[in-house]
Amino acid sequence: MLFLVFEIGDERYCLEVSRIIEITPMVIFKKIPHAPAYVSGLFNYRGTIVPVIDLSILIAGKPSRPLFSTRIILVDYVSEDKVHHILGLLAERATETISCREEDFQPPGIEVDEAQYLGDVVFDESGMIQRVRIEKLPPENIRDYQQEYEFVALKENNDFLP
Amino acid sequence: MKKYFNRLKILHKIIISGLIFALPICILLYYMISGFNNNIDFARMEIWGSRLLTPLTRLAELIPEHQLLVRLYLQGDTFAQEKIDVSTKKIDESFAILIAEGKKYEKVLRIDEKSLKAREMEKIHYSKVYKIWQELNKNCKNNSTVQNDIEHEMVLQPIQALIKRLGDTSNMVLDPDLDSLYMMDVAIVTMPKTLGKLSEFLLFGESVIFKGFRSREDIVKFSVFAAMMEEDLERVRQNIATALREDKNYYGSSNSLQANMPPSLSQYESFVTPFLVVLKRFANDPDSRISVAEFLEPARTLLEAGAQLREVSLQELQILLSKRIDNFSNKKLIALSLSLIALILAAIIILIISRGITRSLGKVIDIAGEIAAGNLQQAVESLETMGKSGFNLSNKAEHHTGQNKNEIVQLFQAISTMTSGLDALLTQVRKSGIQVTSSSTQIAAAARQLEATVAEQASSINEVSATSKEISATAQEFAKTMNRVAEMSSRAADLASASMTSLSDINATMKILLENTTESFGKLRTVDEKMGNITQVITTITKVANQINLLSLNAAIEAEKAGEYGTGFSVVAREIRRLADQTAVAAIDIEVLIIETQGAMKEGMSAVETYTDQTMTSTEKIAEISVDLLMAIEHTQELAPQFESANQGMQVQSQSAAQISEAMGQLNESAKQTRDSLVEFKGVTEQLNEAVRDLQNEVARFSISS
Repeated sequence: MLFLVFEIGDERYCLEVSRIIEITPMVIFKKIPHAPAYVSGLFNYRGTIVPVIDLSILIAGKPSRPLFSTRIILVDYVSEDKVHHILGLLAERATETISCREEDFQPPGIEVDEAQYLGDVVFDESGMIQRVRIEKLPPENIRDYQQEYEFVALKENNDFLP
Repeated sequence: MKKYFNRLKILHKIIISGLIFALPICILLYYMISGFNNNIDFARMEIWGSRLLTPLTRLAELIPEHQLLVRLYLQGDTFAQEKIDVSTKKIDESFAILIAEGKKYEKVLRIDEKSLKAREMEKIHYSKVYKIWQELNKNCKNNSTVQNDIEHEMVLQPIQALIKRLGDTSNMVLDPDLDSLYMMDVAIVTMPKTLGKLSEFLLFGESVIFKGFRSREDIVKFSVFAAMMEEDLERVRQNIATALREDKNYYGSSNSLQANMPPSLSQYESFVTPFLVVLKRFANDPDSRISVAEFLEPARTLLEAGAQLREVSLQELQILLSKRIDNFSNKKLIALSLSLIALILAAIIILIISRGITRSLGKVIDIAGEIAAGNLQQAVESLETMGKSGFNLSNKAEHHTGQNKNEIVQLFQAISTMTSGLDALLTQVRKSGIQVTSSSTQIAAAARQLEATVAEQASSINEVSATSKEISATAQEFAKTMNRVAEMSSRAADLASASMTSLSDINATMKILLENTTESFGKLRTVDEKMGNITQVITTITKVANQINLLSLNAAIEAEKAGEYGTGFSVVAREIRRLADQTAVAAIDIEVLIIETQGAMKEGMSAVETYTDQTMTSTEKIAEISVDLLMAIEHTQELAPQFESANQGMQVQSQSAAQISEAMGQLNESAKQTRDSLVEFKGVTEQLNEAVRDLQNEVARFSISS
């Protein structure tokens, strides 16, 4: 299985590529007043309004730096009522992929209620990589900003360039 | 002597005083009694003398009578023989009485042979006279008339001398009382003399009558004798009248004297008168004839009457004398008995007084002993019981009795007052003692505290002294420092003037620096601009690399989604991504470098800008500072003299501090002395405490009524 690797602070995290719709460069967001701090704002993805969560704020408590490697990862988020939504995740150094099996992941041995989206851990030559569980990611109130999206694997991918 | 007298008891003293008083009284009594005895002896002597005189005067009458009778007998008168015998018998009787009485009283009346011989009068002693009489009586009828006359004269003369001697020795002529004196005169002097003369005259008259004629001389003698008889009678009469008159003034009138004397006198007078008639007739009428019998008969009766009068008066004299003796004896007895009674009474009174005093004093001594032993309570009780048992001790009684109270009662009152006073005093003393003890304890405590305080003070003074020494030292040090500071300030002033020149140099240098800085700022800006150009190129490269990376990533995602159909594509995508990555990394590195250089440049530019500003500010400030510094230098130069005066002040302060130090030393000495005094004071207080304790112990001996 292929996983996208990104960094938050000095730590490395990964997402399974099968859940990723597309990776886009960072754009200017529409700010949402009174939203939680980790909600960076809204942006238009091919005619769809997508909420963006800054994983750096969510996990490390500080916003992502405006680097070229800081990108928006569009993922297929399935809510509890089995409805598909597109969710934008902002993360730094989203430039590498890693290929590994499901068995390689090991449970961390500790589960924190406030961070249930952090899952099992795999390690390579550079160190440990923690898996982010998309289904546990957004808090409940984020759903109000989401639009229903029909996730189709291997959909036309020729017009992702800006 | 005085000590010995003081050692005696009161009773003995009183007895001794009584004896001393009794001694002169006894002596006076003795003299009084001996005076009485003298008077009695005087009277007795008179009585005894009169007793002896009775036979003697009788003899003085009888001897001439006998002589006359003998003469008549010798002339032939036959009747005379019987009469002579009678007369002789009378004379013998008288002599017997004389001898009997004489033996009794001759020594007292000093008519014994020894006394008479001392006066060459031994011939008149009655025994010798009696011998002459016996011879006369034997020879009288045989002798001649002349011889008889001589011999009778020899008997009569010593008798008369003896009468005279007795009159002297028996004090009769010294009789003190008028009545007895006059009676004595009658009985012993006048009447015997008259009768003696009469007897002699009878002899003469008989011889004249017997002769038968009368010479002129005889007639004169007769008339003279008659006148003498009258004179004697008158004297006797007057004497007896005086005696009778004065009798009542001496030991009361004697009844026998008043009764017996007048008849005897009148009888004698009645016989004197006829005899005087005979005598006068015989003297005046030369022719008248008178027989011997006619002449002798009235004479003899007269003689008898005279003798009787003499006898009576002698008896009365003796009665008077014995009355006087009785009187004096009674007086003596009364005086003696009165004196004895008085002495006994005095002795009894002395005993009673001394017993009373001794008993009362004994009680007082007991009470005083109890007080001395400290049993005040008991003493008070004793006094109270005594007050109940008769002594008026209460103050009310004292007021009522006033001055009449007796010394013993006064003494008891005084002791009572003293006891109560002592009681109060002791109570007061005990209280005072306790107070004094507590006070002295407090004083001692205060003294101890004071001592401690003084010690603290001394140490404080020491500290102050040390401190002031330190101050002095510090002040001296400070003065030195000030000196140094003054020097340094003057040096600083020099340095400041030097630094002023340096400052102007700095100013110039700063200006040059400012110009250089501005120049380098311009150069830096040029570099910055060029760096911007490089950055743009690199950014472009980076963007391209980034795009490629992103593309390869999305390609990889799509290849993954395509499954095993996309495997080849995924490899291509990976290769592209690697290429892009290498480019991007290089570009990113350059970008980062440039960005950092740019940041550094910007920072350096701003720093240079700031520096330029600061340099300018500094230049301005240095200019200001140089002005300030100039002023400061002036001030510093001005300061030097001020430092001098401060230095002097500091020296003065140092000296003052030294003086303070000395004064503190003296004060310390005083404090030490004070502490010593306090130690002494403490000792004295302890002594006081002890004294008070002793006093309390002394007082505790007394049990006082609380």
